[in-house]
Amino acid sequence: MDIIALIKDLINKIVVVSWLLFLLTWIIGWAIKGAPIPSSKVRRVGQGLIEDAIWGAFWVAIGTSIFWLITYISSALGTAMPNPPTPQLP
Amino acid sequence: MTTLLIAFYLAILTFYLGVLIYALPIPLSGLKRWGPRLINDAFFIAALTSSIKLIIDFTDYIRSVLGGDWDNFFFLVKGVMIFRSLFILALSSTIASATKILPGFSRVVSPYLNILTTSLYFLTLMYFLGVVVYYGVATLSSLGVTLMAIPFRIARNAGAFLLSFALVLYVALPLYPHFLSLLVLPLPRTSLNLVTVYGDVKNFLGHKIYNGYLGVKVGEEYIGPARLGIDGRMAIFIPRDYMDKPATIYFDVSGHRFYTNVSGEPLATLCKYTFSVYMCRIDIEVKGLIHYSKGIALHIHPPPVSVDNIYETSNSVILTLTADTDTKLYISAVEAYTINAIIVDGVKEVNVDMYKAYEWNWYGIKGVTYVIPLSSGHHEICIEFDVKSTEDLEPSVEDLYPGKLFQRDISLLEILDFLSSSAYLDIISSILYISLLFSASYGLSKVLGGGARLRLTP
Repeated sequence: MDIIALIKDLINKIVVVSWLLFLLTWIIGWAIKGAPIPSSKVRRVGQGLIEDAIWGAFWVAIGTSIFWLITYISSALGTAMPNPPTPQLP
Repeated sequence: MTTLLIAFYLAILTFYLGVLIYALPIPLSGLKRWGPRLINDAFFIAALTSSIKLIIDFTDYIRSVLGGDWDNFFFLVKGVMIFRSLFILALSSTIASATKILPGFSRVVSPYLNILTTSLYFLTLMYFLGVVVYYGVATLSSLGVTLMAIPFRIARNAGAFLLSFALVLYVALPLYPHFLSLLVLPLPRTSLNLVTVYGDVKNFLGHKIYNGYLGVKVGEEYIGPARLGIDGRMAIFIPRDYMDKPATIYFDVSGHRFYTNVSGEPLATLCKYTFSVYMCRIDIEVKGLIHYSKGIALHIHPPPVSVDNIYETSNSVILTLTADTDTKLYISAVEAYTINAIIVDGVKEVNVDMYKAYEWNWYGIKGVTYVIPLSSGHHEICIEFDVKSTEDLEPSVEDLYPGKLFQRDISLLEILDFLSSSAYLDIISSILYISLLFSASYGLSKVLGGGARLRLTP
């Protein structure tokens, strides 16, 4: 069970880091987009960062529910998983 | 189950790693592409993990629809393995006798013996694969899924191969008998139509007999004597058309033919486990015989008796028994033995000639039978003897059955047919089938590990 504890620990850490990274990326994205540089290329980079960050935030927020859904559907189809493991989010 | 749990958590980890890469403020498209890829992988693996039992049940269903049966498969492979082993044993013992008649025979037969041995190797491989897959399909497939679940697709191909290997072999290995019968069809029927009759030999008291000779009488034809194999296993080759005629099996030692439980019955009706018409298991129970060892036999008539102990040394046999009625103990020994004394219940009798009943000739070996009358009740009997020479205790190899069979009427060409067909069947078909299965599982692993990705995210 040690390896499962290790993976759970890793998941928790990565979730925290990705929330922080989302904030950071969002801020950087807006900073680049809003910078007084009259270059559409730079602005597009900023726009891309914001979009990616929001996608990331969306997936972090919805992740647990999706895994729950997958296990729910599979067990409804007739599997006998012991009990669907749900990751504990911070 | 632990591996599946690990796989599931690894999938979740992969998912969050994908999200982390999404959220990274580094606008490199090569790096960013890993985000959606990892998220896809995670969903795929999670679905696979939670439905692995469903998948295995489904493969089981496909297997039963296609007509595969694991019990049948194991039975066939084990049976053919026993058949080949017995044939190899018989052939190598034949070499010993045939070289006396035809020098150089062993050089001719040895290559065929090698072919048969190789075919035995491949059968063992099939059997081993079958055991591994039959008992380990859940373990193998969950291990495969776990390998697939490692983030960044490090072991994805290996895991996919393991999973598809387990699934494909689980479906298709039990279909091997069908494949084999497909290959057998175009072969010419060999006229070497021999059935192997094999089984254990016990005496009427239920004690196992470890050496001795057996013979089968079918009509006027006497097939035998055939020496018992290693560990007292009987193996006699009988022409197939004799199987349906009434036959009597004798235990043929020390100038006597002892009746067994098979008397005047067609052997084909007595076979246990008839999975092949060329294999027949019959367990033999020898009537009246108490003990046999190297040309000396102890038997009793009438038989209601229980033997408590038999102890044998190099120059004596000690026997304790309880007889229900008045009975007679027979000691049949070949000439190489000199009986010095017979001690019954502590009374020593040195003049053994008073017990001497009759003489006999057992395939060229002369011998004497002594008869000791016993009253009902408990007795302890000790027989002391000397052995003049260790030779001429039992019939020589030329008089034994497999040797006689090959001296008789079967041409070498028929043996060639038999050898080539068995080599063709066992070696080629097992290699062919295993390689077919491997390429099928490679294809499935390509599908699982390469192409089949869920396109969920942009």
